[in-house]
Parts: sequence; structure tokens; C-alpha cells
Amino acid sequence: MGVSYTFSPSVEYSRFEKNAGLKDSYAFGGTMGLGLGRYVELKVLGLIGQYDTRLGQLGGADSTLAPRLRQLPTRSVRTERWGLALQVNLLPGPIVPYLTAGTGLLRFRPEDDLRASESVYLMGGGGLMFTVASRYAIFAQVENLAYRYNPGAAFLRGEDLNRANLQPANFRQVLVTNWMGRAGMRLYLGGITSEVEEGLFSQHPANWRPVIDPFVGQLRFNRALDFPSSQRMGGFYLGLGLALGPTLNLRASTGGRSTRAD
Amino acid sequence: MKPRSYALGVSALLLSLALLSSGCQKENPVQVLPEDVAGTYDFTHFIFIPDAAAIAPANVLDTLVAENTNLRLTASGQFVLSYQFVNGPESLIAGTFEVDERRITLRAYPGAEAQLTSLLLDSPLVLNRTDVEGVLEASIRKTVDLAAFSNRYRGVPPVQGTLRLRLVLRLNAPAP
Repeated sequence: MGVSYTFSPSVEYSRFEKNAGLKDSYAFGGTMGLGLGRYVELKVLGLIGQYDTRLGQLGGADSTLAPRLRQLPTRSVRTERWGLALQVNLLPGPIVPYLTAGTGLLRFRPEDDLRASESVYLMGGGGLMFTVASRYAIFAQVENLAYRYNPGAAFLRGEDLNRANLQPANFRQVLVTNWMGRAGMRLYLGGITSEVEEGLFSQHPANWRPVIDPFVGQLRFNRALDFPSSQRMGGFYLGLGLALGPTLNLRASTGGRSTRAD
Repeated sequence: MKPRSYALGVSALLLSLALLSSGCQKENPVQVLPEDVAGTYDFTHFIFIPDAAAIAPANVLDTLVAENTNLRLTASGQFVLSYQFVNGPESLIAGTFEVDERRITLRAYPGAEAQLTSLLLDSPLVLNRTDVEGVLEASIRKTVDLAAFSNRYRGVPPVQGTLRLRLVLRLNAPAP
């Protein structure tokens, strides 16, 4: 098996923690996947959901703030989730357990013409895929979706706060972690099978090896981000990844120190 | 690697995720502001109760001039603890405070250690917010040198016990 292309329409049940300020509901969408051998698949993800806000249960309120939170309006929020995910199949065969991780952008579009806000999300989880025919499989997975957001800024407007006798300072940005259950169908659209691709992507996950890459460099931010436009790495970064085959490595970098250059 | 190892690996990963998700200390998105608790609080309990029943409790309030002893919390997050020992001068301890839905944490500015010790207090001082609005309480386990606090305890070595505090928000008098 070399390179393959897949499309996976799916439905997701979103179970939000109380500090996420949203009621549990469903999102719909899917992924376009690029399969690299039988063990690795890179996916582009798109999911759209519609949720109602649930701000009365946000944590941190005392006995005077809690009744004011309950006065806040319930508002419908459309969410758009766009991102990339990596899926690693743990076994070949008709029933495939897999792990998945990814990142992307979560956009909140509240009704009433409120400004849309965006958060970067991280996702990790696992699932099972059942092959039902040569080109079709069904899957079910559980994943944890984490992002940072500020409920006051994302879901409320000034007059909502005034009416409830609250201030923007009563809300702050926090990390929320939510469990999502997703199920769908995986359709095999086509692919390339040759000895070359087989050689490149046939490494079993058990044979992957960690890679450590120290490096130094220069970082340039767009001025719109309001960071120093140029930062020099004063320390070093470590890249830690997996060599999937003789020519393909996956890397995630962490650490590093920087000093302001201008 | 055998299927069983994979199953164990997947289970371990999902368990780790679950623990990470539920075990992490959660920040709260709603925060109480200093102005929500600002005001002047009067002490209604300020007593150290030694564990040793043979030693009499030290009622700090009895040694203070009640009308000149209070805690003022400002909307800007600063506090002023005013106090006056009987036959002593009026004194102040100032600092900053943080508040959340459960407690108020006072941190005195450096240099107030001796004054705090004279009141049997330490910095930071954590006052718990009670279900009754405007009432703060603390129950602090500590070792106190009562002999330094009052001649009444002369010869008594430092003893362990519980310092109990209760403060009540002073209600503003209605406008005439």
C-alpha cells in the first residue's frame, strides 16, 4: 500500500466542560485524508456546529456574581473548526485501533452580529476503524479538545454585561478541555501503489525511532501580532519526532529561549 | 510489537488524556474583583486557642481598642489593617490582596513582620469567605509565643494552637 486518498464524513457529539460556556450538541463535517502506507494518515479537518451558550455555570463566581451570570442571555453560537490531524494506525487488518492528534483553529460566530473570535486548539484521542468493504470503513473515536478562550469576549457584548451588572474584567481567558465523540464513514478515493511508496511508508509504528535535532534560528513575527518583529534564538530548540521511513520524518519542536533583537 | 502491547498502549494513552483532562488544576473564567469585596471589616473574633487545655485562650480583641481596629479593603486591591493596643498608639499595616470566590489573601508590604507578629498574624493571611455575605473567617494552625504577647503568659514556652478570626463587613449608615 503506497499513498492513498480518503474522504471521511462524520458527526461529532461535543461534550463541553462547564467552563466552556456551551451546551452539549452535535457538529458535522469531515476530513480529507492522505494515507501514507497502512499506518499513517494526514488529515485536513473541517467541522461546523451550532451550540447555545450556557454561562450560568461558569466557575469562579461567588454568591453575588452567580445570580448576575444567570441574567446573561443565552445566545446561539456557530462554531467552525479547521485543522490538521495525524492518525497512526496501530494494527493492520479489518479492525484497526488508532491514535490521533492534531491542531487547528476554532472559530466562534455568535448570533446577533457579535464579532467572531478564534482560538487555536489542540486535540488528541483514539478510536477504532472497521473495514466493511474494500473501499469503505466506519470509525468511532473519542478525542479531547483543548483551547483557550475568554467567555466574556467571545460570547457577550457590552450591553449584556451592563444589564447583568458585570464588567469585562469579571471574565478572563482560560484553558478548557472537552471530550468529543466522533463517528463516520471513511471512503477510499484512490491512491498510488508502487514499490517506491511501499518502501517509503511501510515502516511499522513499532519500528519508528525518536529523533532529536538541536537547532538555532531567527524568528520574524508579522507586525500585526504586536510581538517584537524579529527575535533571535538565544538557546536552542530540540526537535523530537519520528522517522517513518528512510525519507519521511514527523517533528514537533519544544523548548527554546529567545532574546529580543530589535 | 504485539496486539496486546498496542491495546495496553492505547489504554494508557486514553487514561493519560483522561487524567490530564480531569486532574489539571482548572482556572476559572469568572473572577471576583477587589471592588466586589471592598469595604471596612470589623473584627468580631480574634482569639488564639492553645491545644493545651491548661493554658487559657488569648483573646487578642481584649487587648485592642475596638473602634480603632478594622480591616479596610479597597477597590484597587490594597488593604489597610488599622489597630491600636490598649494604651498604645494607633498603627497601620498595609499591603495588597487577591480575592476569589472562596477566599481573600492578604500580603503585607515588607517591613511589617514585627507588627504582624504582635497581632499573632503572618503574611500571607488567608481569610475564607463564608456563605454569609460580608463575613470573613480564618482558622489558622500555628505556634505562638504567648509570653511575648502578654505578661499574663510569662514563663509559658511557645505553644501550638488555633488562631480564629471573624470579620464582618461594616454596613454604611443609611443617608439621612
